[in-house]
Amino acid sequence: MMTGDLRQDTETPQVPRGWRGWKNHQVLRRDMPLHELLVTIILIVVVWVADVFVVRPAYDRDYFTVQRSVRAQKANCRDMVVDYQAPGLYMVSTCGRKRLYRVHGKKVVLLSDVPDEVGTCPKKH
Amino acid sequence: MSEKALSIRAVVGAPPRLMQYILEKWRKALLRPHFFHSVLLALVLFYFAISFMLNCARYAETYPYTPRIHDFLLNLLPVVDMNAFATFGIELFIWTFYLMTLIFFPERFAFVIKTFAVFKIARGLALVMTHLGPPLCMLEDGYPGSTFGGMFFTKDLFFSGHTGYPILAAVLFWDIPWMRWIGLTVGLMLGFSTLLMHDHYTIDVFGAIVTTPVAYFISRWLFTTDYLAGVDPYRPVVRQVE
Repeated sequence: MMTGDLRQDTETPQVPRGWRGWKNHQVLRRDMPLHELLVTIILIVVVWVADVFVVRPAYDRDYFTVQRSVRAQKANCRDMVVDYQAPGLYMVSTCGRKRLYRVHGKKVVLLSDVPDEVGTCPKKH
Repeated sequence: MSEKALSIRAVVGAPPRLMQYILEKWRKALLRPHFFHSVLLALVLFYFAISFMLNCARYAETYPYTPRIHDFLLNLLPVVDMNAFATFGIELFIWTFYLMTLIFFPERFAFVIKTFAVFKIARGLALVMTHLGPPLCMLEDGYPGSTFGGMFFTKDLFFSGHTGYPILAAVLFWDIPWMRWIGLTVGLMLGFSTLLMHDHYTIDVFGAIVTTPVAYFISRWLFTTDYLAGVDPYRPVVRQVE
């Protein structure tokens, strides 16, 4: 019988079935069951494993090899941009120069080094 | 020995007013149903959102043939190195904001974290859909040395996080005037500093201002229970879904 305060009616233990029933059950519950904590921990592990072992290796390794190598050689200024040219070939624009690199495994080889013709910046960094 | 002598208050004295306020806030927050449940799920979502956004940024970074285009406002602005202000400013603001929410507004913590997660997921999707090179004359921002495990994001990042995060904080605490104005001011200042460094196109900064409230309302729609818990701590504990 729906009379008076709504809270009195919602405190009844009868939980209807379906989506709304599950939602109401979730709202009415006051504790956190152990299985939800376990599911939470499993979710964190699944996301981490998928991130590290599945998603990241799917990206272009060579791109980041070039980026890391150029930075390790300190051959860059703070305006460095790496651009893909062809498989294994990357153009690095920085310090007013355009440098072409070829990737060999985890190492890079400088193929050409020419001045950058963009020249629109007010000052060189 | 009397009961009073054994109590903590008898030993250390009554807690100061600020501590009383915090303890009362936490007491009320912990009385609510599944508080920990909500916070834990918020942290899971947050972790997933960070991972998602970083992978989207990696994808956008390696995308080939991204053009660099002119921007009306950037062509007028000089290139100024604001890295210290922009990088440490956003980090200081964000972590102060999280910590302050956790201490003083525990009832809002889950909703705040979930909203930031929604914002990060929206940003990740926007990054994937934007294939632009960086603005001309870009000055790299970030910590000197290594960022994101040696990965630097040099392509255009639509929309601006420097603008978006403080404005999202302002939107989340819109009912508290000083937090609202601090968030809006910091967001606009950091947004302008990234423009001075030519790290973002102008549309990135304005896009963040438009997108942030949308992310907030999506989060409010998705996580209504958490939102209501933060809005009215005296709301009845039991609620029936219509």
